[in-house]
Amino acid sequence: MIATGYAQAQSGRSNHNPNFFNTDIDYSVQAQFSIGGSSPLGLPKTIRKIESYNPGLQVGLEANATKWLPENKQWGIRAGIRFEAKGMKTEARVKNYLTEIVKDNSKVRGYYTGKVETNVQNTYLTLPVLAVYKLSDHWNLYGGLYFSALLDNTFDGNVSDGYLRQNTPTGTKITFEEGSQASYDFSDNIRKFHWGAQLGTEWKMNRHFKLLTDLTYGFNNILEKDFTSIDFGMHNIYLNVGFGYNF
Amino acid sequence: MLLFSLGSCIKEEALNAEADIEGASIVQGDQFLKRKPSIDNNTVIFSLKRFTGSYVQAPEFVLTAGATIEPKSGTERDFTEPQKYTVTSEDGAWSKTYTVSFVIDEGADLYSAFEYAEVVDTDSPEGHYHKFYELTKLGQKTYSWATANDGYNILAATLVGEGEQLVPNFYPTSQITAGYIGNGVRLVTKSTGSLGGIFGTPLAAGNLFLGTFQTTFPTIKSPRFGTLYEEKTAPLAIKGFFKYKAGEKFVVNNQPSSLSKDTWDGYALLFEKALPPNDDFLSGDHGFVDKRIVAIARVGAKEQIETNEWTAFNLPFSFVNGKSFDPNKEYMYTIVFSSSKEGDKFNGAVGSTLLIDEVELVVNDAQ
Repeated sequence: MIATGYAQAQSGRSNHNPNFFNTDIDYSVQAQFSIGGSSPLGLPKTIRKIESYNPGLQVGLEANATKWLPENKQWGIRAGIRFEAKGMKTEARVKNYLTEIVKDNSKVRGYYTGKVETNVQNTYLTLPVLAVYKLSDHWNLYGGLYFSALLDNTFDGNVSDGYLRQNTPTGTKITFEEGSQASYDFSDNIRKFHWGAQLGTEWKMNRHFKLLTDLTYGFNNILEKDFTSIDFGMHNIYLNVGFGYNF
Repeated sequence: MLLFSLGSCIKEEALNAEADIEGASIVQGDQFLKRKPSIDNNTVIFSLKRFTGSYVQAPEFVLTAGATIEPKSGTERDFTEPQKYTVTSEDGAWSKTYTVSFVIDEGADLYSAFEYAEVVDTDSPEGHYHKFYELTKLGQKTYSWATANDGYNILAATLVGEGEQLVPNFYPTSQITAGYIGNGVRLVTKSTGSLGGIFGTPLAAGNLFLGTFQTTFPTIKSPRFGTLYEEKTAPLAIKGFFKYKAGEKFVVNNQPSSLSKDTWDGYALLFEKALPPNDDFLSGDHGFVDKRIVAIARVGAKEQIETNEWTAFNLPFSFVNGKSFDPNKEYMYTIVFSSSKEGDKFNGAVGSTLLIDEVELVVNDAQ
């Protein structure tokens, strides 16, 4: 690398001291809006209808650096740091949905049929590590992995207009009359670290400004491994749209 | 894009997993049955107006969609003894056994001695609690008195502390052997633990009432007060015996409260039948202001004392809402006891204990 840097210094500008961090490297800051959700891969049979979905305003801010490989400067490696919010609100109709209401070591578990409102709002500190391919003067493709640490977590909601069969579908029937609800809060059970894939494209308007869009997909269930209150995994799946500034 | 994929991948609905008897009937039910059959999670009781010479019946059942029942609906069986039926869910994975009985209903006894209680054993969740019954002249069980033990059972197994056991006297309402005469009833205000708050029931007052209990949220809708009033004159009073000890720490979960120390409640209501389907009960939130109430008998300051001795109470009925008794109308009535007067608002003191025995509805038999 040092040799490369030296070689490039020979052919590059000589008015400043060339090194790895100022040669063939782009620095940028970008902002994004995300729309998506924490969703099972293929909805389980227990979910009968999504009655409403609200992505909320999910904003992310990222600073990154792209180092272009020296041979033809078509390929680059990008690393960054991103603060991002991921969240949604949904209202669904479920049938025989296995869930439990837990507090301080006591719990009521059962099969729920009725309305479930879910509110997810998490903030992550994310490190993307991406390969960038220069398609043309205006277009780049990028893809790779990201690693996220949870900073702030909410996963709560309530059940209403339905009934719970305690323990088994033939157990005691607990009816939730219209307008009456029981709330749940799984916020403390959100996975602290997760990783996933990111794939996207950016369009360079000019030397400084760019627009970008990408898709991120989390490999891990967003809830902890030993969490059994919901019997299917949910993954962070988001479409991100943003703009950036290249220095 | 993502949304379309979410919306479009709703899978085919799974077959039903529940196995309930949702309705029960017999041919010419109007003629032979005193009231709608009572159905809970494991029993069906048909109340016959009179004995017709035989207990051979062919009850028909309405089940969870797709479920099957064995023996089949409409099968003739001899119900001299209660009979078992097995309902299997549409998906075949779940089944439930029901006990179906036919009893000659002579109406709730005007006099209740609380001599009989059976232990209800549940396994989903585990529970063991008392259910009171009376024996008819023919030796059949009738269940006029209800408690909130069914509801408490949802959480009971999670509330057993060190040195405690999940046995009937762990529940808010249980039978005691040391009654005023023979056995009696003990009502205790219990904590519902941290989960109770989530369900909107921060505590559970021990209660005992004429009617049924159906676990419902809001919880106050669960007790369904009422049994058929079959006398030809207005009731005069309720009588009985009690002991009471208030728990130490009175907690107000729902303002306002008119109390600073816990006390008990005991009352009777005579009320009009309304239109189906909610014609035959008042729910726990009647607040003594329901327009259907005709007459009220209720304990007052004189009875709301702490006492270690069996103490008699005698509470006369007063007409309310400008109503009077009309022998041509159909009425319901209930008698209710609670170990915490404001138990309906979940205000009370854990440990408040009310003992009740030998309760009588006084009517003027002379007419």
